Amino acid sequence: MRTQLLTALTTLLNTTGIGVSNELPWTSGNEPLYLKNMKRVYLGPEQRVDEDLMPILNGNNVKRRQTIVRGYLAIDAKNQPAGLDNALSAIKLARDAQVFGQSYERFVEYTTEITGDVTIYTIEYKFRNIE
Amino acid sequence: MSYINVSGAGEFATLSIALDTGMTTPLAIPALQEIGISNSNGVFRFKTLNSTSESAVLTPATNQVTLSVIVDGTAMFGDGAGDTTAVDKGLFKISNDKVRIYFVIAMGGGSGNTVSGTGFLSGLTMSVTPDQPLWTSPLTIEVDGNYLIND
Repeated sequence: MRTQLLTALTTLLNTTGIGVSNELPWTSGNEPLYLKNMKRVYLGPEQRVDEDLMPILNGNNVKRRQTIVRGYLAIDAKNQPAGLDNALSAIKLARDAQVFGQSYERFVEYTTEITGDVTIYTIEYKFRNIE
Repeated sequence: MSYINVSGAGEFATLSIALDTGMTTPLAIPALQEIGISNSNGVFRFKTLNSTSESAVLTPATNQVTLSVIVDGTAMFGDGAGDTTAVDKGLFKISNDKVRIYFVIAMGGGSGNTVSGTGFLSGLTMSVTPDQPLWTSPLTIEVDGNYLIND
């Protein structure tokens, strides 16, 4: 899912002035990469939760896999980039990329946090598939 | 105590149906979510002047097996090899054609108990929703006559 999201975001954010990094949002010298390289979306590793969706008497339960990918984007809080609104729309649109057609539920939400003069968008994608 | 615990591997409750009493090429229902066996005796109640309580006599029972399944393409629509056996026809055609079936329910749990009988399929209602994207259906076997209980 992370790879597909990176591909979708790279296409959708193309003209917004916001970039996408293939790197994980690791921390360098106590500073996360997304703070060091602002105006770039960083996606964390996938988290997966497998659970029984429909129990069956023969034990072959239908399973649901929920995949969660968290992303981060930092921008200058004082001088927001001109393409920010379009970029946020693109970030939401990425969940509907054709490649996720097998996911019967797709969520995206983002929250904002202002630290000093930086606005950090924390993005969360959730996809649910039948396994 | 001899509780029948069906949760262990190889101890599952199963339902098989066939189109003949010899259970030739039975269709083992593959994705059985729930099964219920009901034997509901009818009751006729009457009052007499010499008693402070009603009396009762039993009338013939309504016997039904209720179940719900996740739709398996082959089990529901048949194997495409004709219409001779239950496996060939599948549940939908058996219900639609109103064909008599013979069934065996293995109670599981290592008990060896079985309940069998004959009847007709009814109550097939396949449904699917965006939130539950697998077809499921309830199903009822309207039992014709008594159960045969193997203890």
